[in-house]
Order: sequence, then structure tokens, then C-alpha cells
Amino acid sequence: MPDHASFTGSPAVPTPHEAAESLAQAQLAMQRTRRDVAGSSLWPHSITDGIVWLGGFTATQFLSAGLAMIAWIVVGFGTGAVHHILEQKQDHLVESGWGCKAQRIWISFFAGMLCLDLIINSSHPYVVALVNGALWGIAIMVYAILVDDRAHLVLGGSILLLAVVLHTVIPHWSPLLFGLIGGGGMLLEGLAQMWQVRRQW
Amino acid sequence: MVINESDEATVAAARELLLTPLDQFLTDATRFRIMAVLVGLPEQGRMSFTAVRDLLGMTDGNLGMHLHLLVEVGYADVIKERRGRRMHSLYQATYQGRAAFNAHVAALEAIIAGSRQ
Repeated sequence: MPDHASFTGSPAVPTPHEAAESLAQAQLAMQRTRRDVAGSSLWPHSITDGIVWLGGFTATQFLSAGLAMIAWIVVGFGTGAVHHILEQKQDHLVESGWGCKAQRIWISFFAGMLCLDLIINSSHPYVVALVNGALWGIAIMVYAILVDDRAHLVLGGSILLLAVVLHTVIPHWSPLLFGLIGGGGMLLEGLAQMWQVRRQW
Repeated sequence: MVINESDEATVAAARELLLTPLDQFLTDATRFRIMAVLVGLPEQGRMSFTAVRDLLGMTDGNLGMHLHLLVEVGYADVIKERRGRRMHSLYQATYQGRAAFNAHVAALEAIIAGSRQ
């Protein structure tokens, strides 16, 4: 294995063609890295959040408030545990460096959402559910901006818009539709990003 | 002797080339690509050995050799972390590595610019 002591003298000067080729290769490598960073950091969460939303919002539509809350907790913890196990098994690790800060942001956001639910305290559980969904869309947008992920920025904005449209147009079926469209959309988007990132491997 | 504008431009390009030397460790195209991957990460970003290997399509031995050198000369840092039952080696570019990479890019660009004079 060469050590740096064996590097003596001036390096050979590449031709302009070789220099251009090197730069092009380096630029491609950097682009793929940036895509990997954005994709790797969010697709696992999109998949698990999508599953949670599909289950949780469906429960909100058809079950009483108390049972729906239990359903959210069960689906949330169950998916979270699966996500944690999958993360432990991953070899292909790409970290944006936002790790600890991102965790704190999400925890703060989640706590804020619970506080807001207490303030709203609406007799219509679907209002609370839609507000939570809309807030989650905002959180996705903010995080997407931080990690420079356009796909998730569009996803977050779409979720926010969906909450507004459903609440305005079909309020009584909005939780189910929100779960199917929003949660299903997140799940598909996460699977698409996972496929794109793994295809590079 | 009359020195015209194109001669002056050639001299200026040559002067710029001499002032932006190539990095002796990054003239190897593979090592340059590896540094490009690490520099492509955000400032505090890190990437596992497996991720770098998958992204560049290299073998374990070849990548390990180049990463070892980059860590030795101070262009990259390696952090070993245990996650679950596995030990992972996570790599990131150092400040010195980023500076060396940028300087080498400038040198290559000077070569290209000089050829156009």
C-alpha cells in the first residue's frame, strides 16, 4: 500500500483533454453524492410516514376519537420500530450532517402539534386530523429546503394544498381521502426515491 | 519585437497555470473522484465505505487503498461507529481536503483555459 512519503517531485501535467475529462468525472460524482444525500435522508421516512397516514387517517374516518388515537399510536410505534430495525441493517449510509438537529426539529414539531391539538379541541376530529396533516406537510417542506430535496418540497406543498382543498370541498370524507392521497402519495414517493437511490448502487 | 494581445494572453494563462499547482495526491483520477464524492457531501456530512464504493462502482480493496492514503495525508477523516451489531466506517472530507480539492480543480481549469488561448 503506497504511503504519502513515496509521493515526491512534481506530478505529471495532464493534457487539456485529460483535465476536462477529470473535471467532468468529478462533477458527476459530486452530483450523484448530492442526489444520494437528499434521497437517502428522506425516503425511509416517506415510506413509514405514508403507511402511518394510510392507517391512521382511515381509523380517524371510521372509528371513534379514542379508538382512532389508539390506532395512530399502534401504527406509529409499529412502523417506527420496523424503520429502526431497517436502519440498523443498512450498509449504505449517507448522512447530511443534519442528523441530531433534524431529530430535535422533528421532536419539537411533534410536541408543538400535540399542544395545538389541545388548543383546537374541536368537536370534529377530522379538523384536528387535517390540521395535523397540514402541519406535517409544512414540516416536510422545511426539512426538504434544509437538505435541498426538491421532490420532498413538492410533496410537502402538495400535502398542505390537499388538506385545504379537502377541508373546503369534502370535509366529512376528508380524513379518508387525505390518508389515501397524502399517505399513499408519500409511500409512492418514498418507494420511487428508494428505487432511484438503489439504482445508483 | 512586437508582443501582440494573443501572446500576452498566452503568457497570462501560463503564469496562472504555474501559480495554481496540481495536487500531487489528487492527480490520480480515482482519488480525485473519491475526493469529489466526499466534497459533495454537506460540511458535516458523512458517507459509509459501502456508500462510497456503491456510488463509484469500485472494489473494496481498491477503494480501501485510496481512502487509506487520503486519511493519511489529512484530506479525509474516518469515524468508526457501531450501529446495532455492525461497525461502520464513515468518511468525511476535512477542511484541508476541501481546500486541496478546490485548488486542484482550479489548476485543471487553468490547464483547460490555457489550451484555449
